[in-house]
Amino acid sequence: MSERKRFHPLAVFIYLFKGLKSWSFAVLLLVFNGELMTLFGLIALSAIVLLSLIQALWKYFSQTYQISSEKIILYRGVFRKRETDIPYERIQTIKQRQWFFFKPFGVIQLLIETAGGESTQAEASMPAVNIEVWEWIEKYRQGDQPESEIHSAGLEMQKESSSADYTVTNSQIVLFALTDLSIMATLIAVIIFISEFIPENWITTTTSMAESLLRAGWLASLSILFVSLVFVMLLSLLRTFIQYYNFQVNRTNQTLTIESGLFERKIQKIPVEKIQGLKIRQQPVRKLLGISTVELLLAGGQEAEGESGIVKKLYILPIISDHQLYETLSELLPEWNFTRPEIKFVSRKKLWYFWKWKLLFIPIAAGLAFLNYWLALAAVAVMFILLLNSWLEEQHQGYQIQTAHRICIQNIEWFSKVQTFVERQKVQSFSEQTTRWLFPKQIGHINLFIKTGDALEVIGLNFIDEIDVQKLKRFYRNKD
Amino acid sequence: MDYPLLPKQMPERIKKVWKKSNLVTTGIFLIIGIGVTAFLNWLDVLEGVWVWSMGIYFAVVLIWSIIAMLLIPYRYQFHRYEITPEDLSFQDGYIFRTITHVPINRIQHIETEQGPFLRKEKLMEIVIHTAASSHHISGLDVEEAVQLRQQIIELVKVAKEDV
Repeated sequence: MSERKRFHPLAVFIYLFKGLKSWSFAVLLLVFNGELMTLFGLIALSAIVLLSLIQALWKYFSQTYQISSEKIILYRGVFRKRETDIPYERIQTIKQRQWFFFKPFGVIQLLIETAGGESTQAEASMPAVNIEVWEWIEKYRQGDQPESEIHSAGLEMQKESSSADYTVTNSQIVLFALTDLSIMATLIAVIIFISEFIPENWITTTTSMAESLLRAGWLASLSILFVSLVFVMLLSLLRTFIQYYNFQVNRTNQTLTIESGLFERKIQKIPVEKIQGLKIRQQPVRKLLGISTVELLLAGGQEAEGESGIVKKLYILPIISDHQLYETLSELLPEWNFTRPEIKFVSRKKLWYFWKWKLLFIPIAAGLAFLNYWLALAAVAVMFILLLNSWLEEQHQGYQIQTAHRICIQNIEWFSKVQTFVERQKVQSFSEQTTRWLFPKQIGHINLFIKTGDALEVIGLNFIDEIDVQKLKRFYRNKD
Repeated sequence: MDYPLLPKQMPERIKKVWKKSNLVTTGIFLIIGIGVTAFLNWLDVLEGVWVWSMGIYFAVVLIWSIIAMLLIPYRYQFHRYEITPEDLSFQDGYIFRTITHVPINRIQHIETEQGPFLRKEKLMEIVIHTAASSHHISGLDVEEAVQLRQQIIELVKVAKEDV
């Protein structure tokens, strides 16, 4: 498995499809102008197809890869040659994708991520390779591990002696999708819209023909809006369902495998020692239902979703009931010794500090009241939301030093309770802050800096006692 | 209780560099302001709200620059660092105070920088990068900077941990 090879020939079709997709705008333009069936249209279309085909073939023939026992090497380019070397121990995560129509061919897409690089693209992207390639990579990557691992590295790699599993059922995925706050927001928007406008309209109805017709038209457009909103909701529900269909987590030796997807099956392998941290997140709706989500923090690039550029969260447990949570986590990650953290709350009785700047909304609202009554009301509403959020923060902020090298920090992020678990050696730096006026009162803030994706993640505690600052600092600097 | 100060301070010559770069920054902002004013005047719209906004712009630039100048002694006093075999610490700020600790074995690479003002004073800026963040020591003697860089590299060699 150490000779230089091209990708699977199916890669040509993938490149071709991607090329055509980037031209789809021009094709649509042709269709809309009604020029598709004219001579010009046909010439343009065949030129686009030919161009994309040449590009695809060029890409296919100019890229090769090589899997050796120490590293993966990718070669690119004809004139300006590029070579990417990735040693196995530097791999942060390996992602495997397979659309259902590639299954009969045994062909997969492989994305290999390291901690380096600034782009949101994978360091090594193999659009189409035989599934064996992946098995070889896994075998070499785990090469320094016991015989049993290598022995079964053939077809069934997942099922092994020291393994733990967690599967999400279909109804759980539906619950996960339903409790997604973005769906909630749409739902609330729909309800507000209806309750705001319809009754008011009914009260002021007159029996005049013209007006009732007008109202009918209005109601019709309103119901179209309502139906389309419900449609959007159903669509996003369906999307979540397709994305997380048959979600499975599996732990085998030193590797976590996360698997999901209906049409495109996604399998991601994560070496356990590369996990930067873990976040248990619980937003209000899910808190009521007693369910949480758990995210993994990885240093290797998580890809951005679509054009929005929002980095997708990597869930290890997208939905789990609270009483199973810690048990399941400690099965999957026994070395983390998960137990329910006993958080020490650090900022209670300091509400004033959390509120003082937000109270500036009062004079602003008073000023606005002279201009526009509704603007002032909006300012007051925003203030109340901010005050409520920071009150929750004041009540729930806290930490627990769980072992000599692990810490759990609890925060409130927009009404969601977030517990971040992180190993000391994965914290890149620690900062303590205070101000000229807070210091005499022995109050300060702390921040932990962690590498996640391509950016840094800052986890902080605000307005905590100097004693706690010192405790956390001693923990980090290992001076206890 | 006094606010704890880290032991090491930069050479006092850094104050001169700060003053100069302050003046240059103010100068650039003033030139931009003058340019915009001239442009507005050329467009014949320099009246009413534009006069006000340009006035506010110049006032803010000047006040900002004066405050920055006045704060230089404090900035110097509180801009400190410490190097121990296990970690580096950086201290910054008089009103808003920050101390950052970076363990040696989290350091990924070190950069040195030298602008014209720093070069004139024979000083060098050191930037220390971890996998997630970067930290500056804004002026050290060139020999001291090179030596510090070497020292950090030696320490990094000994303590090896991966991301």
